[in-house]
Amino acid sequence: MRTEKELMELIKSSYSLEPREDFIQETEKKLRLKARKSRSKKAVGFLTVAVSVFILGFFALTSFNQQTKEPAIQLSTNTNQYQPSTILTDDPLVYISQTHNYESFLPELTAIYPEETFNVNDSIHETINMTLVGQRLSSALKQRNINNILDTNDNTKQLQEKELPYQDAYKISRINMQDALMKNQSIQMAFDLHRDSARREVTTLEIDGKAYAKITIVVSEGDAGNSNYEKNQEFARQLHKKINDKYPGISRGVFSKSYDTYQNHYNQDLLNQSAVIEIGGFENTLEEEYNTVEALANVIQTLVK
Amino acid sequence: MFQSNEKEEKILEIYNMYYLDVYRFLIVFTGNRSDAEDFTQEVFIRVLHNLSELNRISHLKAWVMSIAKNVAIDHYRKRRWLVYLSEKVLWNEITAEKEPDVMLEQDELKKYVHAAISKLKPPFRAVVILRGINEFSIKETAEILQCSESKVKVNYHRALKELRRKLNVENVEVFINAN
Repeated sequence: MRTEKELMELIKSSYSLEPREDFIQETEKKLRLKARKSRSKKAVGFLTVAVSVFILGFFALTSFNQQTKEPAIQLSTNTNQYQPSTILTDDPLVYISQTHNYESFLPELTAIYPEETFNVNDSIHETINMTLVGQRLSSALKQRNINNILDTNDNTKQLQEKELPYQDAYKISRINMQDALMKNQSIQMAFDLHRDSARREVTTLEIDGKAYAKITIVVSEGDAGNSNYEKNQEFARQLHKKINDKYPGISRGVFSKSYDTYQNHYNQDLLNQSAVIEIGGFENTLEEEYNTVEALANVIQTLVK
Repeated sequence: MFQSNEKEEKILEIYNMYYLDVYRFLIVFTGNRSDAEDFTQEVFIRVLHNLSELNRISHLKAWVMSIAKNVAIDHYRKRRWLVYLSEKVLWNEITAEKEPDVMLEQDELKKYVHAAISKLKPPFRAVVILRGINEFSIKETAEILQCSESKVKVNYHRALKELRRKLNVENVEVFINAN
């Protein structure tokens, strides 16, 4: 009970901090209806009163005065006083890479090469691949005023030219990442985007009729040479929780990989907030990948400081 | 001006991004679910009504949270005298949901915590929740409360001190050890 942290944990445990699922849905529905109805200022005023009557019940009379004035007060106090936040700086805050940049998607390949059959091992392509997913995340973040650096290096081609084994891809992506981090101290988090080799049933989620590619967050353990393991792990958990709060079930979880022959630290020793994210699997479509990229961008926006 | 469907999309996007932060702030500030739910809806309805101002707002999260803070404090002013009553109702709810003998001690502890939080002055309460529960940075908290960063720091430390005193450290420790 002495430290600030313990005190806050105590407070947190004393309240139900999760809203009811029914309430979340109801409110969303309510806002949707209100957005459709409120077209003119007159309508807005009327609705505000109606809402305040609903919310405050027997306080209707007093809230009437306050509610109708509120929007005007909000505008004057909030629009002018805000300083530009760090989110609006031009400094890059996020680093995006695709170490296995040729990882591709069977449905997309089948569409272009209808006469060929593909399986998990040959769902690779020189242009229709993870780089597109990375580009999409990069622009989704830019739309949210989060500047970022995208590694567009063709790692796989470089491996082939130098006749290096596939697991050396991380050595190549490391060079670019180190360089970017050194030149941009503002980078707060790094994501290495991959796609899983699991089947479609495992890697796809439907929310409100929209198909999303599920994500898996992978963190390399300390014995694999990752000196940042604990901080990476904490970041991964936070990411997992936040994205599942907003898109229940979209994250399959955080997986810690311990040392094995081919595995290394995924370059996660370079930055505290660094994660490998598997977005969907080889049987997902690019559209499903992009849906998840938007979801991910929404969550990253809440994490950048 | 926003088209109607654009407006709908925008408000839902904002809602999905921030409902959890808003709700958590309000549940701790008000101490009961029914108020937290009503106020959360009110916050996003206010956001909806001010959507046309979005392009003039540089930090969306701080803006939404400052509305949450305003809603909480407005209602606090109006119904200060009801705080006692709502606490009573809350205790009954909690005890009704759980096994009586198992929950007794935890209930006692929660009661201490809720009482201590509800007795904090609203500005102190807001700063404790924003920093400690929502885990916003000092800079963000200052933006939300529209005050200086140093004021956030000072108020936060005063509030913590007061909380520790109100929670009557020894008593609470007994409960924690017993659980």
